Amino acid sequence: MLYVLLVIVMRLMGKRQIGQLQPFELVITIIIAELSVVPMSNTGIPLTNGIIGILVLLAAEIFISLLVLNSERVRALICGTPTILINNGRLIAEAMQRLRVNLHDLLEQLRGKEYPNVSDIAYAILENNGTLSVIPKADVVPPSARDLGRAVIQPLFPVTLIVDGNVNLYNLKLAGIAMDALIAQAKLRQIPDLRDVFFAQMTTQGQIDWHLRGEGDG
Amino acid sequence: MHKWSGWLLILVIMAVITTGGILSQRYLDRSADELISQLERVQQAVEQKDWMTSEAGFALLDQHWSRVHNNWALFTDHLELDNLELSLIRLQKLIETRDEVNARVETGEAMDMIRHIPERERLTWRNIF
Repeated sequence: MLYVLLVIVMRLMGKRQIGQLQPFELVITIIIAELSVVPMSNTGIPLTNGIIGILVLLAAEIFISLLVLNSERVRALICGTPTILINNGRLIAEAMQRLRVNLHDLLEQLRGKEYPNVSDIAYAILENNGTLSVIPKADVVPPSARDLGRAVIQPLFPVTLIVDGNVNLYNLKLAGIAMDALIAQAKLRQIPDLRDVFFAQMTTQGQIDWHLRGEGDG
Repeated sequence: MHKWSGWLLILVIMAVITTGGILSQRYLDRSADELISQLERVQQAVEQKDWMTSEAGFALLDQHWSRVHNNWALFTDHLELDNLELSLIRLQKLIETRDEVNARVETGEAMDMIRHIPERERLTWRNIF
């Protein structure tokens, strides 16, 4: 029962991963986990004690999220503000000391993001959730299609059409493909029965990518 | 989640918890008062050494307790309920063995335990901190 409640509560709290949580979300997640363990491990404590606590914390989390969403001032107070650690290739020692960021840890994170040289970085920003965002200097960024002046086709939304032989009719409609057209496309690829298809997807280029059952097996 | 649905969810959660809290506290108070008044009748009979009346009174109390016990277990500490249960079993045996002094002591103890349960669940500063 508590497990089902926890799954529902975590769904209501949103889709963010642990590493992406804001400080207040992390605190609430830890307390919720602790609250659910107590009635599970101690049979003397009624389940309602855990359930009420979890529901109150869920309400508190939604309340703070809504406040943060509506007010920049509250957001800055509760979540903090991002801090620039590298500005135009120069390390900001004062900010690093204030945030207790070790130089070696910073360099390790930069190397992990494939920026071995501090001087190549225009800005490195420590975000509220603890992740480091890096904006490289323009001369070290690989040229984009826009830089090269090449015409590109914007990608379409990729849609899964068939999974394990089952056609997803909702996605088929979303992709704007009729069932007859799908069958015709399959026949063109020498696939007589859609149930033989393990996976089919409409790609970002608007083509259907077919994967037959057992095709990739050794 | 839409903004309004978030506020609505908060409202529903708080309404359910507040209403549930008020209703459960009322139930605890009412049932505890009933149990105490039944125990007081048993105590009076014990003081008068009217063992037949005290046995009959205890039987009624025991019936009532069986019903209340299951409901109280939903929102009170089971250890406290177990202690109260043991106290009532001791009281029953003391009445059966016509032990007036210890039966009076046990009745007082059981009454105190019953009073303590709704007091422990009440929303008070002492319980919060």
